[in-house]
Amino acid sequence: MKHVLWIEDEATFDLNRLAAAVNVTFKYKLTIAKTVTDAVRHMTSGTEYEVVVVDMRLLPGEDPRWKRLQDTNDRVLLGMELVYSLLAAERGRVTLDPAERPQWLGPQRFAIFTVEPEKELSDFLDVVGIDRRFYRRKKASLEQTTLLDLIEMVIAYRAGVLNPNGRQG
Amino acid sequence: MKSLFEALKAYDLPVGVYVVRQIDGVDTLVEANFEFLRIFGFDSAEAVVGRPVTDLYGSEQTFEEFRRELDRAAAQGRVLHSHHEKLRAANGDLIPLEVHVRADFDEAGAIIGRTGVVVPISDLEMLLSDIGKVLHRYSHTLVNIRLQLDSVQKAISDGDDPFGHPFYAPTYQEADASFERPAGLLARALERLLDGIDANHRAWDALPAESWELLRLRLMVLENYRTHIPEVELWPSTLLTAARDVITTMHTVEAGYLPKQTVKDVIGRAKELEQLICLFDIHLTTAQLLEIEHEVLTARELALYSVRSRTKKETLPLGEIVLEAFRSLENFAQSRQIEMRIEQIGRRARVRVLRRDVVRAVQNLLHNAIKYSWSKPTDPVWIDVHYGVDPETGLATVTITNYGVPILPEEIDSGRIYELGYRGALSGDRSRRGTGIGLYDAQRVARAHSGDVTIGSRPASGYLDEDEQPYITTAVLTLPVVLG
Repeated sequence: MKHVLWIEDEATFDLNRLAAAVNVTFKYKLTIAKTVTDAVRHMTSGTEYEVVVVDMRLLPGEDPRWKRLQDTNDRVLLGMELVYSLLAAERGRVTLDPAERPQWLGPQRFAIFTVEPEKELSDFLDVVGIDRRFYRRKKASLEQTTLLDLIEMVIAYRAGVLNPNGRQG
Repeated sequence: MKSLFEALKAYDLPVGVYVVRQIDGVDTLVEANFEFLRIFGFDSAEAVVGRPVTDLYGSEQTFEEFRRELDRAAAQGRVLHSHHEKLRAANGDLIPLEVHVRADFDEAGAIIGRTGVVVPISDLEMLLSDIGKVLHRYSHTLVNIRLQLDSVQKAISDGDDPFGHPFYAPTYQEADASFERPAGLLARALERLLDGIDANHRAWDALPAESWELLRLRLMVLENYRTHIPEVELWPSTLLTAARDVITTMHTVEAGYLPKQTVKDVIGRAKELEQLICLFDIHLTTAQLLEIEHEVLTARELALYSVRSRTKKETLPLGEIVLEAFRSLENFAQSRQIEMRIEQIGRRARVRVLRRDVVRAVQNLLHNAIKYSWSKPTDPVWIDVHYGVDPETGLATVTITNYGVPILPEEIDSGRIYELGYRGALSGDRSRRGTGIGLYDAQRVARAHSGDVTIGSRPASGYLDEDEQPYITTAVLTLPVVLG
């Protein structure tokens, strides 16, 4: 079973149906991190995640480095900061220890699932190297399989079975 | 009227005064004082008097909405106060104004026009007013959704709801105990179906191979969801998705390959499970609506009525205010299975207040007490409400005590807990929602009445170093007492 990490504070509440669509397939072991602190802990737990889906608006959790960043900047997007720190350390405002950046980490494993419009994230996506096809915007009309489709798209792309138009085959 | 206007024009009034009359069926401006002309940027009365009043409105629609509101006020025999509108100035710009207007009648009681006053307001006040109107509509929508959910709950449960009262929000553990049996029955029915096709190769043709695989995976979900998914909150939606997938798949079975009774049995079991989880969802959604209803109402009140207060203070018994707030939140308390106890302590108090505001202040404190209480299905949770004259301070006092989510001492000492938009560091515990309006609003209202709101929070055990323990939180609202 492939491991997937979803960093999302609403995963078990308002977005629980999206998680259900993943769980019900019995193909993926879905781990949920509700804060940035939790996310870093899971990523350094020894589990290699095939896909990491990240929300941009996250809570800091207990780690004082993330708490301080939020306390000093009301408008900071901690999900974005986390991805910067993991994938583009020179742009990260929190410096992670080498042990907090596992070997398997790479932009091709990441997807962004957030309310922020894509154009507001274009610089960020370019810097961290996440493909724009792996960005999805949260909105009320989402299909239940949105998260599942995004996960399968990232996996298919890495397996080399994704056409340039984003379809498998 | 003419002579009155002539007299008024001699005074440098700080407000614009105008008169509208219906002339040939058209609402026409017939009088306007100097300040009115100044506000709208007209050089002289001739530039505007005699023109249809619709020329001053942004659109036909906004004019019609205003007329409807005025007609409603007139039918109730009242003045339309504090109507906020953007009206068109001489240069074409829309300017935010507050209008106070009264319909004028002829001797037969028919409306012949109106007399009003306009005052310029800031863009911020206009924005707040617009937000208030939107929230007002939302508050109606929430009530409507709740009533619709009520009907759906009755229809689905058919009078037999295992989760009890429609307002009650069962815990996920309680819900799972209810799902265990129907989930097990569906799993057994699926097992029988899948065992049957192993024994009968013709039955394979009833569905494509991928559908059989899907059914096999959904059976694994039904049997293993507790170990496969660590978050109990995800169990109902996962079971629901599994049940729906089974129903959808079984409806595609080719006739003649499987015993009808087997197909019927699987679909029937899946529908039982689906129905039960939907009922649980209705309970949760209703409880969420009850939770946000008060937040929306508070935000609406702040936006609509705080810009300019238009009501007068009344002298009221404190008990009447507390009871009104108490009753308005009984449903919300019921949804959390929280018992609210109310008692008068000490002498009765009378206070001179803006009723609407002070009732809301008490509601805010009660709402917080309910929201941040720990619920324990096995042991009813309480909230104590005490009110009366405090013998030590001589102030009218409402004390609300609850048992649950802690407020950190530094948040209280720094005063951050009273700031608009601030939510306590531990307030998001168990996905409690909030906007950080309630306590700010309650303290603001109390202080506007020369009173105050203070908060205290201490560990229930008395020992500060014990983690994960409930706190006893006390909110105290004080107001000056009216003597005599």
